[in-house]
Amino acid sequence: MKTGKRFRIDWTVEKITPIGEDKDAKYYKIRMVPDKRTWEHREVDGTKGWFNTLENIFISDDEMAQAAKTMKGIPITVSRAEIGNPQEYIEKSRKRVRTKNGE
Amino acid sequence: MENDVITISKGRQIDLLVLYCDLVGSTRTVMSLEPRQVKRFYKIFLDEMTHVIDDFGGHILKFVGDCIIGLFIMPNVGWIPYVDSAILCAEMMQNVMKHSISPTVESEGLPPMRCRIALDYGEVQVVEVGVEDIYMSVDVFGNVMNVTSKILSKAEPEEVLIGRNMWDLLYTTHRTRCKKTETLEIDGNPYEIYMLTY
Repeated sequence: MKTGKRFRIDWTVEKITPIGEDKDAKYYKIRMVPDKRTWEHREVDGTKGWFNTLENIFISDDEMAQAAKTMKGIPITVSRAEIGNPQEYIEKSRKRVRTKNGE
Repeated sequence: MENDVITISKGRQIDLLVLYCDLVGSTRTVMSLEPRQVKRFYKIFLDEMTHVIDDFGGHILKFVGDCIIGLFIMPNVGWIPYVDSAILCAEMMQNVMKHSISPTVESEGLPPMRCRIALDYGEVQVVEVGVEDIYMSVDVFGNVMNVTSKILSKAEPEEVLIGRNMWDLLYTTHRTRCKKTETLEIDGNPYEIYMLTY
């Protein structure tokens, strides 16, 4: 089933507060803000919100709060910054290429 | 050999990231080589790039001459790691070319190799095509395939170019490493291309 146009906002975790636990899991409250490398909190025409400096998109605090309500149930994904060590990977590649030498 | 992941999507419409990678100037290069060397030249490139795409979670759709078409199939939920893997895969392919494949072929007396890469994101139809009892295969059709091919034609050796649709989905770290290079016209509309700096 299609889910419409995909959209991405990266977040930075500012604070993690433990709020309880039961026999199955531990629970935390997490305060996150849009990644400040590309999002700035600004006031535009008297409205406070988040401005994306790469795309010149402005999302008011109210719109962000509305969007946050729709996030319930969406899994949190931690982006893999890299897969292993690049130098080790290239060395692995060299061995592979040399092993096939003369085929 | 058919790719199982693509085959099981037969008859469906799916979202995916497309990766095109081709050797630059190989047609002219191989004209001066012996048949044994031509085989070695192409095989070393296609084999090693296949390993890299597979290691980063992608799938090979097909080889078209010296061009590899790879796919990263995007699930509806939990798709972010696939986008990040695809961009890291492209970067690693260039590094493997520069630091592994090309030095090895040069050490064997073959000409140095350079490749160019294009990526984009979009929707495709997975279709079984051909004539039963003669030849059947599973292929993908969609605008993203044509667009990515056009983007590739704009790439210089050692470059990784990305279409706007994929750029929209990149991790902030990778997005800020991209520079807008030019604008294509797709169906009468402007479509931005970005170059990954690495």
